[in-house]
Amino acid sequence: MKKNTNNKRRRVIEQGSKVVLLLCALVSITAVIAITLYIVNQGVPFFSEVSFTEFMFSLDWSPSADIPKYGIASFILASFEVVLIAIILAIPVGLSTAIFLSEFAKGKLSKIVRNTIELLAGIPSIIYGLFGIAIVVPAVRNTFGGNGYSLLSASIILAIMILPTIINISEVSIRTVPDALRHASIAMGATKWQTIYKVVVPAAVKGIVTSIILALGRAIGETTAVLLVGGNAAVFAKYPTDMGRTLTMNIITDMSYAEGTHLSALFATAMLLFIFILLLNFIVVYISNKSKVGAGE
Amino acid sequence: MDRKKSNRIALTLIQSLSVLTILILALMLSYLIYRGLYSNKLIEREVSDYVNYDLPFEVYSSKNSNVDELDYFTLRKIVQGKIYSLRKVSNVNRDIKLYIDPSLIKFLSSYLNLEISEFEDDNVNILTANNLINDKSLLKELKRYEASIIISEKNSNIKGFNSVEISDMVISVNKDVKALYDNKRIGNLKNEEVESLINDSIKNWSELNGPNLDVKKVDSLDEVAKISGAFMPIQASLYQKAINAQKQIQSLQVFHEVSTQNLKLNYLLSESEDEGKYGGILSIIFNTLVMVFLTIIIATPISVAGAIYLVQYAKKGKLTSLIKTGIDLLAAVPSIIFGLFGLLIFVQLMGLGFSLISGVLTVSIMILPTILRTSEEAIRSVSPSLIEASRGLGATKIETIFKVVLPSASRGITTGIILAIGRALGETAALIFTIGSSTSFVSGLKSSSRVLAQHIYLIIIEGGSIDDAFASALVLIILVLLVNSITKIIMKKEIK
Repeated sequence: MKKNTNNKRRRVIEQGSKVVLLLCALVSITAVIAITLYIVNQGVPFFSEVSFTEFMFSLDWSPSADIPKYGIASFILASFEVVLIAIILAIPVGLSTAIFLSEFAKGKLSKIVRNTIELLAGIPSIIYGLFGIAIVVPAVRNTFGGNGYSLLSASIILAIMILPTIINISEVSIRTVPDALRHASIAMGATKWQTIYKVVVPAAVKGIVTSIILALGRAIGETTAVLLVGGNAAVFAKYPTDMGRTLTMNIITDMSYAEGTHLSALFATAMLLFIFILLLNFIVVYISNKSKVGAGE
Repeated sequence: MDRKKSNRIALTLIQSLSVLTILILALMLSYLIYRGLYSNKLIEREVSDYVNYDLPFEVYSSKNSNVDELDYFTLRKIVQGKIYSLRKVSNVNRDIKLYIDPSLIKFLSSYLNLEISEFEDDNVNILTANNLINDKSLLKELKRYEASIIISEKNSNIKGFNSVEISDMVISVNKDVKALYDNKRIGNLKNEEVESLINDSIKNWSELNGPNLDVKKVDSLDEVAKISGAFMPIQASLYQKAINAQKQIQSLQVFHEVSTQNLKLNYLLSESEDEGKYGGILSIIFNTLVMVFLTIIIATPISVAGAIYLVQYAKKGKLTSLIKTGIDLLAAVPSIIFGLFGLLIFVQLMGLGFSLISGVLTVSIMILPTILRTSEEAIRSVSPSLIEASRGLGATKIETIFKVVLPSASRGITTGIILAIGRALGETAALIFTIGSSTSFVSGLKSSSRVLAQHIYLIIIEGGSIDDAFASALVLIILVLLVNSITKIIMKKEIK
């Protein structure tokens, strides 16, 4: 009799803890849904006052004017411009480092490189921003003129910040390329470089693309570092060396004083940013699903 | 042959580009450490420190005043009471306590061109140096106070204070040297330029961007006033006397390079003042640690439990893939969006206000994926035979988890926690709209507070002292590096 109640108690504990664990596992997805709902809830009412086309395609952002204008086209363009330049700057260095680590990973140098990447990944973005103010901004000023606070400076800082993302994920995918492929290539008389260029990199291309897309996601959502060096001028930047404002900069700058329609315009901006990030992530999921199918065949 | 060459070139390129990442990091770290430890500033002044005249008095300042050099005109203003706080002199937000040896009053009044009555002002405490040395308790008090300045007789040997150098050489010039010519005007001189001017190696003022006048070194102020292009290095005291009568004489501005130690123990150990503009960062470091601690306390159980569920209970299906997608998405959400979410939910909807708890909850959600993913991996790598053995002995699943799985996965979980600590330490954007900005010690969950990363951000945005930003950044980097190396040590042990 006593044994029976004991067993019963144990089963209740067992079931109860399973439920608790499940609930904890569900926190992440709940948070994502809650974030989406609240941002949408705050952002959508904005479009009853300002048309979607004006919001997306007008270059005029003047929320404090007598007739307020809420066009964020220049911020969207600036965000894309900054991220694109950052990626272009980061890919050669990132990819080379990934190849180096996976193909030549021997000796002290690779150990130092690995430690470096770990450190770079751990440095807070505000520190990147501070470094940008002290080194990158003056360098851009001296090279290209202007005052140095520019989209280009933001791109350079972002390029450094996304290096670890590109390197780590590309390295893993290059490493998983079977050695048989390499040996076959070398045996056919190809040089090491030809093997890398024509066999290894094409075989790892899905992982490399994934790393670049994840890096894009990180870059487009970065706020504090770009804010400190980007100039934050709410106008359309004609050249990368002009001051400009990205989507994230717009949110963080105006948030402290915005009210009413202006505030919901900022949430609409956040909504757009969120959509970009979701899109990038779905692309990553799509690619990784596809490569799994490929591996299965 | 060509193939080999291109092979070598390509491989060298790959190698050098990967070395570039090391160079970038080395440049970043070394620059930040350098700026954190030293500050180099160019200040524009009326005096040069090229020659220092012998003076019959000595000036001392308290160790924490950051004053080890003063120029004649600043000293004069301090004695006059026009500068009453060290705020503008050395960024120390304290009213000056000035002590002057009475035997020096006569000399000082003529040296500084002040009436004797001006020494009787309230801000000046007149005391003999001898008395000061004997008055141990007063001396102790002055030593501890951040803004004491003592003017005493020469060789009075006051210990435990900074000895302050007084620079008082003015380069007096005829008025026409400083006039505007062809839209050009003589700028501020650098130290090397002062040196070459005094050593006669500059022949024409145009070499210093000035007018096309010959440089003439003369020996008296009268000549300076009369002769066009004339200059004369002179003691500031004499210059001060002369300019009241002579309108033809002006002085050249000189750049003064101040290089001081930036991050000081005092900065680490004193509380912030005036919304973080002055004082130290002790309270901010404390708040940062409290924030990180609470965040970890909240996030760890949830994420470890989630990881256990995913490894031990989850079956392949829609629910599991939903959970996994949730974690991936949460990891991808940018921190500014977390900030907005925290603002809406915790600050406004739940009415927690801009407070420590709002910030902590926001960052907790943010770092969930970090701990969860690492823990999941660690739990997954616990050998199944261990689990089976435990189950075979009659333990229930949950008993097995607590007594077998978690202990053997503890290192991996710890690594995840430490990675999360690193992320929480450096977080800025998610905290700006949630945690508030008060620089004092947090007194409770609902009190507004400020953390290090956010402090650096606010200093720059509000136009504060960039030196402070670098000093705080150095502290933050050290904390991050510390966390980083702890992770490595744990990981290494795990491999063994």
